Amino acid sequence: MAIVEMKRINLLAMRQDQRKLFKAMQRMGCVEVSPIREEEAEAYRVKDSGRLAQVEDTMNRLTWVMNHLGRYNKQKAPFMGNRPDAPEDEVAYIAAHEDELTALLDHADSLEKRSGEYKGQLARIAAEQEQLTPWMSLDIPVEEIKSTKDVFQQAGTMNKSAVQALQQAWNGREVCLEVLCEVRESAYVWVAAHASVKDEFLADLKAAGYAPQSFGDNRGLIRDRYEALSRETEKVKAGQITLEKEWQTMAESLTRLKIWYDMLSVERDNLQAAERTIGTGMTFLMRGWVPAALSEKVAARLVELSPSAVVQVTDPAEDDPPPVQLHNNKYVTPFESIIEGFALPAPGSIDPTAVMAPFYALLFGMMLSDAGYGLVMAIAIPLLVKLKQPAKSNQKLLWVLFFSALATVVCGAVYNTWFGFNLPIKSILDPINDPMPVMIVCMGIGVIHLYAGLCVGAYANIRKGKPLDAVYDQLSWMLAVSGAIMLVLDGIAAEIGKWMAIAGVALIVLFAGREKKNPFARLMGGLGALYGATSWISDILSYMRLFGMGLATGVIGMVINQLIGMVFSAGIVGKIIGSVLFVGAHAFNLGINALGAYVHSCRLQYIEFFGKFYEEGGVAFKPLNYNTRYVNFKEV
Amino acid sequence: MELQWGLILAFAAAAIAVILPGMGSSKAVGACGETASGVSTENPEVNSKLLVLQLLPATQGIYGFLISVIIMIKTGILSGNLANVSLLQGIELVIAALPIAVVGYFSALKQGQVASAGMLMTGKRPEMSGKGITMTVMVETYAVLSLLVSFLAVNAINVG
Repeated sequence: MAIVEMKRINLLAMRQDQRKLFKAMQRMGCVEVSPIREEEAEAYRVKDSGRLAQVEDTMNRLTWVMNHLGRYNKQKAPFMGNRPDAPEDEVAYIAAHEDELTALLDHADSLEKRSGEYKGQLARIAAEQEQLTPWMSLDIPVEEIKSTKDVFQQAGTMNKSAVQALQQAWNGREVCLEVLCEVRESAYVWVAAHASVKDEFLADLKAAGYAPQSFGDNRGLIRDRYEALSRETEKVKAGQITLEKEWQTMAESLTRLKIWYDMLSVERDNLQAAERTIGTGMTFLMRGWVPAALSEKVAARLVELSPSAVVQVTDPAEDDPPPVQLHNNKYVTPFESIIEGFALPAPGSIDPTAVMAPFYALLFGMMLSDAGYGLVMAIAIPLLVKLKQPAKSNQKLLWVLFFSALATVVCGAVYNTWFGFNLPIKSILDPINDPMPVMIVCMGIGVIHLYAGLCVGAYANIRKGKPLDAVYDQLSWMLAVSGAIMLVLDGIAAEIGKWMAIAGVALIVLFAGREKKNPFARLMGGLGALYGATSWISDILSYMRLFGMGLATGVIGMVINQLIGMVFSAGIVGKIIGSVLFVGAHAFNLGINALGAYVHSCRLQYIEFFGKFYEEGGVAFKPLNYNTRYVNFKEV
Repeated sequence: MELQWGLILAFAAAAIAVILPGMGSSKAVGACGETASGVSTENPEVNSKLLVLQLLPATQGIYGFLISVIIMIKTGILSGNLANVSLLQGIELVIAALPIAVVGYFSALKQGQVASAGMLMTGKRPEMSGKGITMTVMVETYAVLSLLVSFLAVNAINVG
């Protein structure tokens, strides 16, 4: 139970050893490289050779290609972020063949370009075909639609509604008007007229909304051109299929690309860390953080690699807050993820994980409160971790749930609820028929939980060398609250309670405002602090959710069993359907209530428990290490 | 057969207990689902965190269902052997159903809004999802309290 003590580490070494030293630090994974911010350092800032920009650019291109290839890859996503180890020969191959892989990216670019071209061609062909469609029945080659000395001849479009009137008006005269097809309001027509009536006819046509059609560079029959375009479409589509196959072939190297991506990201982290150093042409200076326990080992290793290097490990200065890393034994460690979900404790304050862990499990257990569900989780989770090996961060959450499941079995047994059934023995606590004792137990657990928070706060005060603060700020409240609770009892206990409450309140009123010099302001501060009693009432009442959530699980389980009981009584078919329903419905109830228990336990920790002592504000320790997305590395 | 007002009111109590919170929850979960789809297109990696947030306002509907079923068990609606519910007991059942019905409805809507906001926050800063969940659960406190009151009240009514 502690926040890891951090030391400042300064490394001054020869430039030629930098790469080697940084790689070694990344392998050890316990040094955070911090930027050197002083103004005088500005002149010695290191410029990267351009490799960093190149690596980042390649990673961006890779991300795009891998996303695109993902569509052609039938591999299933790894379970819960499980990452396989990268095969060493593959890593060596990639390191030696970076050019080949870059060529693969170039190829992907060219494929994408081709794909765009194909799409453009198809769109152009489709547009042209749409224009040609109405002229399909025109059986004159378009270059022959032109006027001679005596005959005017043209093709064009006009209003559909005016066609009939025009035909009637010119019936029997030296003109010809043939409708080829009609589309919506337009008629596509071919017209011819003797030169003598041309002007008159054209004027009539114009009045009917006529506009001549130009066929541009087209020659021959329109339908021939249309078919030629169709053939072109076929060709483009065949090209697309080939393209698709090429993508598929490329998708086979997806695994290799993923390993490459992770190798690049490791290199990027390393180069970014190196950018935070300062130096001259021959030497460089790195400043960082290292856990105190490992500092000597790290220093020794660095000097061993570069005998001319100077390594200096010092305690952090007052105004130099170190990053925060939590360290706990293996049973409590998973619960660190709950803390991280809120905020890390401030450097120099207390890591509450160990105190919180048992309470977390207990609160979760009381809310899920079905021994059967607890058993299912307690058996399934270790199996899942063993067989599927999810990623470390997900494993943490699963272990939290495992310990909570053990508590659920105990609480479920107390409530005597097994998959919604009650065993034929007397329950220790019966929330449905006798709710009062359950409510008292819930609030009692709340009081214990809150007192635990006060104790952590008192411990922090004592550790800071201020034991009196522990009396004024924590013990006073314990006395006041315990006294007020004992007042409810009879006889001597109530009498003791009265005096405890008075002592507690007196301590609060007299000392809560002790930072103020003015005695009147101090008293006002004390009275103001006493107002915090209202928050105590709401905090304790908040633990009633333990009862509410537990009730929800139990009653829904019971209702499920009752409803399925009706199905079950309907013969052999009913028994089969009922069994399936039983598993499904209870799985649903387990899922939704486990989620509820998880979030509400978090809330009770974050708001009620942490509210009593927690100092947040730590910045996470981010050592230079192998932070990968797809595979694990042993060596790079 | 003469009208059994008590029994009719018992049906009404069971109905409002499931209708109002159910309406609230479905509206809230639906709105959250829309937000989740939007955020997922921007940042698909936080999808599982969004699902947790989306599910949070669903609980009010379940609480309402729970009270509804308890009323139905108590009055024999579930088993088919309808109990003899007096007019007064019927009124009591309706009143007992009101806390979860009304508070469930409104807290589901509000919780949905907070969850949606939490999703937007999670999309931009995934490490903040824990806080988003905590803020959302703050609202649920009142649904849990009203569930308790409704349950205790229904439990106190002796039908039969």
